[in-house]
Amino acid sequence: MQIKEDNMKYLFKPRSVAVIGASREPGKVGHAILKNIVEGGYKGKVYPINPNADKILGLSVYKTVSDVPEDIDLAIVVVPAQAVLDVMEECGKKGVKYAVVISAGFKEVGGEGIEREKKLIEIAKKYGIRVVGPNCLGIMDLHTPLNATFALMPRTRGGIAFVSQSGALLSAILDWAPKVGIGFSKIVSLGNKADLNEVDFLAHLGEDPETKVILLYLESIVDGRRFVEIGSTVTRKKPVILLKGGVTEAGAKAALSHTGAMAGGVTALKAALRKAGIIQVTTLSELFDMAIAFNSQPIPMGNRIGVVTNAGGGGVIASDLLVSKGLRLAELSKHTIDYLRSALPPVASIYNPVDVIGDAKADRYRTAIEALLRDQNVDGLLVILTPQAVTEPEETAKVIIQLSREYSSKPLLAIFIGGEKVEKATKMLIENNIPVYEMPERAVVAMLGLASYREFREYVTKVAEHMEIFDVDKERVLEIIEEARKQGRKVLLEHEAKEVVKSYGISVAPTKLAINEDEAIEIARRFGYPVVLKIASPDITHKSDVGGVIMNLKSDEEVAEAFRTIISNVRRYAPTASVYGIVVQKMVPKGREVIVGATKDTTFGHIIMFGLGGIYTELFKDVSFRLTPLTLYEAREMVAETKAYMLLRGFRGEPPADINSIINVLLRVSKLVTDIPQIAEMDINPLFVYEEGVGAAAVDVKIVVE
Amino acid sequence: MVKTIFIVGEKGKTVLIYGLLKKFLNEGMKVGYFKPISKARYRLPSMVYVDPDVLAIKQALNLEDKLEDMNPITITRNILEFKNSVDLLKKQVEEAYNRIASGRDIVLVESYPNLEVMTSIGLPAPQLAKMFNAKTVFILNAKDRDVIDEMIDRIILHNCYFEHYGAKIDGVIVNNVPIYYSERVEDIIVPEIEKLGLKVYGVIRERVRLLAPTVNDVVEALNAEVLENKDKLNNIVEDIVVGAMAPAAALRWFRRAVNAAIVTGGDRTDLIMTALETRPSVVILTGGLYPDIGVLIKAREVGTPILLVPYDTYTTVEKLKEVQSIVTPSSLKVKETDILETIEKEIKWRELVQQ
Repeated sequence: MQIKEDNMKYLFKPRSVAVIGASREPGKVGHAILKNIVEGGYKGKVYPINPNADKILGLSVYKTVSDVPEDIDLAIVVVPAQAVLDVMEECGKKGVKYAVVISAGFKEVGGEGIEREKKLIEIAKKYGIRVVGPNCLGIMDLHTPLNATFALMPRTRGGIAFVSQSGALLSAILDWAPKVGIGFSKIVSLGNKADLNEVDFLAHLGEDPETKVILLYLESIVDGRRFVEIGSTVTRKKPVILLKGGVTEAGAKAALSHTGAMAGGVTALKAALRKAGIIQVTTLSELFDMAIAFNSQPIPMGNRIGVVTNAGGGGVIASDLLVSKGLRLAELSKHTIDYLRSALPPVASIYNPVDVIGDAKADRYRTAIEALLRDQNVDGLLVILTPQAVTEPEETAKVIIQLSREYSSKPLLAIFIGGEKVEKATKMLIENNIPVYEMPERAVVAMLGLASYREFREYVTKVAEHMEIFDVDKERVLEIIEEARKQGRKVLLEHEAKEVVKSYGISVAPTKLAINEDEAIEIARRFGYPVVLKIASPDITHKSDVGGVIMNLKSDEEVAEAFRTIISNVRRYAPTASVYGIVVQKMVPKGREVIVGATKDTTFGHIIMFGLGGIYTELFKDVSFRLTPLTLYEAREMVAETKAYMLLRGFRGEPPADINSIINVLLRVSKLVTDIPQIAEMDINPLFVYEEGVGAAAVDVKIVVE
Repeated sequence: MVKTIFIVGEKGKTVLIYGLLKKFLNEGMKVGYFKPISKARYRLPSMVYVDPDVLAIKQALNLEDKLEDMNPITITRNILEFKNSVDLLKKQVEEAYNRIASGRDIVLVESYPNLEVMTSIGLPAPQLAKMFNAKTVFILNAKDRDVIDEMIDRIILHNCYFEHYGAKIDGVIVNNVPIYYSERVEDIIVPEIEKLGLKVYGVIRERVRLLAPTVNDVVEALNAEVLENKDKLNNIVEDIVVGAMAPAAALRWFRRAVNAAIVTGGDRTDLIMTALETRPSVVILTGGLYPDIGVLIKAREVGTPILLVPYDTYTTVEKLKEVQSIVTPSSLKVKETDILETIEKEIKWRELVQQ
């Protein structure tokens, strides 16, 4: 679904709103929504629709939408599920542009609900109505202002947009937000996502001048490919933070325990978010701690963080956390150190973290904060305050507010640890848009978010270049897959799989299928000895486990003998496997073994894997993953980030391996699975990599198609 | 005059007989099926023992004969007790056969799996062949042999047995020939059989999945409750996959399976969702654990039937394997085109009916 030119203007800033199913009775959703729209200060026209009422909240009520004399931009639908379809038809005839369907009783209940939702989409498509929901809380635009939900709109507004797949979670957050200084721009409850989904809103909010940071709480992603595509354009402009429900580490671990079997789940999500430049958090507090920082603070130029504290312990904890999260403790310039030595008491610690010690009043904080903000070696600052005997929380807050404004190019986050004694100061900071946290770990997470965004944004730009590969034979691959499909197979036989990668310009060890001994000998002679014989059966994944592989055959007699041995072994160890013959493969010189694989994630599409071959993959889990389509930059990075890289570059006098040929294979595999999405899984294991300039050859290839 | 062919020998008889009967039927002949002696493998609600093969053929071809005519003797446990009533038995078989044969152009008679059955009581297969004045065709199964040449020894042995009772084997069909044996069978074994004075009516190459039960068969065999997509029970079930790993790992197995029945616990929501992504033929939930509503919604979207069974996973798989091993009417029907194609291409069916 393409986003219209008007880009949701009439959804968030409609000229008129109809509430279909508006109710006179307080306590009913149909009443609450109408009341929220009116009391929220909406300035456009409001039309309550209810066949059995004349006036609600002082507004004239219409029996149906068609009775409304003027145009309706937005309809809020709160009638019972059974009546929604009729209402949508009427809306369509009336020319309503957007509908927010609050009503439940659709796909989420199963059975007839599924059919109802299908019909809802049909009607919407027929009339060109874009739909939010059904089964949602509604939408809010705090700048319009429009509160088309049955939750209360927070008093404070800001630059944080929140798109949530959970309605109930939204209501809770909305209630809590003002207390901690969260200012929202727009709120969207996605509901069942029958029409408009996270990607549509992501695209819109990316362009929305009132939104500075986009928060997503998602349990499912409708179109992973588009999510990544749109995400990577949005994150160049503003940060996107995702809290994804329903991911478990267990799944990721299991995925890695198979050679070349990377799976979806966490691995794919991580690869996808990396490509999209989206920051992933795992807790609600992380989501909002980061959001608060993004809402008011600039993006740091680097990850060197300064800490000012009046409690040694607080400084140590914050420093440890900073480093453990991958941030760096700034090394202060000589100038700053000299200045602090002269300006602070002798017992103060003048190195980062700067400890202004327990008796520090606001002026000493000013000295230290200002010095660090001026220092070129400091990219961001954490200010920790603990209430001690002479501490001046409010005065210090004022200093922070003032200096933060003065040095507005560096992010400053405050950490005021305590209860009553820091309550007022905390409030002051919140009111003046200074992010303030009650514990160091939360501020560190927020700072990490700021710093990561800078990296992500750069990364997204860097990986944007695509390489085109032209010398491929797509038709040939489709033929091979079609042939397997005709035979009712999902697993390609080895010679077929090799033919596939060969068609995409990847060198393979010559391989051919033989259906009897004579043929095997003939092929072996043609290839030249020595050769390898391997069983060809789609039912056997681990060929050597069933005695299905015999290597280093040097004569006709050995080939004939090996043919019989393999058939007999397979009959014994895999009696039910269907056998298509035996493949004969020319032995190629041994190179350094690596694996290149691809698997199709059900949400995001194909991810590519690279790792050291043989036992090392399983033992060291030394693998890297990226989402397709792979760019040159990503392919290089995939190789460089593994430990295998050291070995490939030439370890202890070994000559360097042909790393460029690996990168070439990675890019070609990416091209292959992008061109032929029917490929569900593939593995080149091993890929023999030779010395620099000599290239690489695929020795075994496995492909599973859908 | 009715033409009777007695099909004896190894695995694969029923499917072959079904294919031949269907072929003859398509050629406009009136056909009958007779299995004089069978093993009791299945008990009808009326407490009568029947052979599922007989039921399958009867239903798949809509034959109107009575079950007890199509299959007069069902062996439950004992055989020797029949010794005293062997004349009665013979009479029973003969009368049943006559009822089947009357008005038919061709009758295919299927032997008991072990050819020597009832030799002890004086009712050996060769005598039955004589009784029906039948042409005897021996089915050899090439697949389950380490030494393919043994097939010759086998046929000689049985020919001796028939000759001992004054009957003879007329010809052979070599069934289920794996691709790697096909050259040897064609070039060496077939001529060798012909040297024995036997005809070779066909060489059938190995076909995986020539038979597969439908989801409906599975539902019946497991006595399962269909939770979703009751109208999609005609899917065939070829592979059985147990989902016990984490979803990401299990996906590998799900993807490789063809027309799969995926068996897992009803409480494994994540795994079932992953399974549904690969569009299996059916998902079978064990332990009587009712799934999450999301599972049913997804199943509806992708059109995969969801079954609920009270058994544990192991028992369920065992039962599934049982369904796979028997011939059901619907499995014959779904694979009919394949079976007929095989008959057409690889069997000299015209020669079979000629004298």
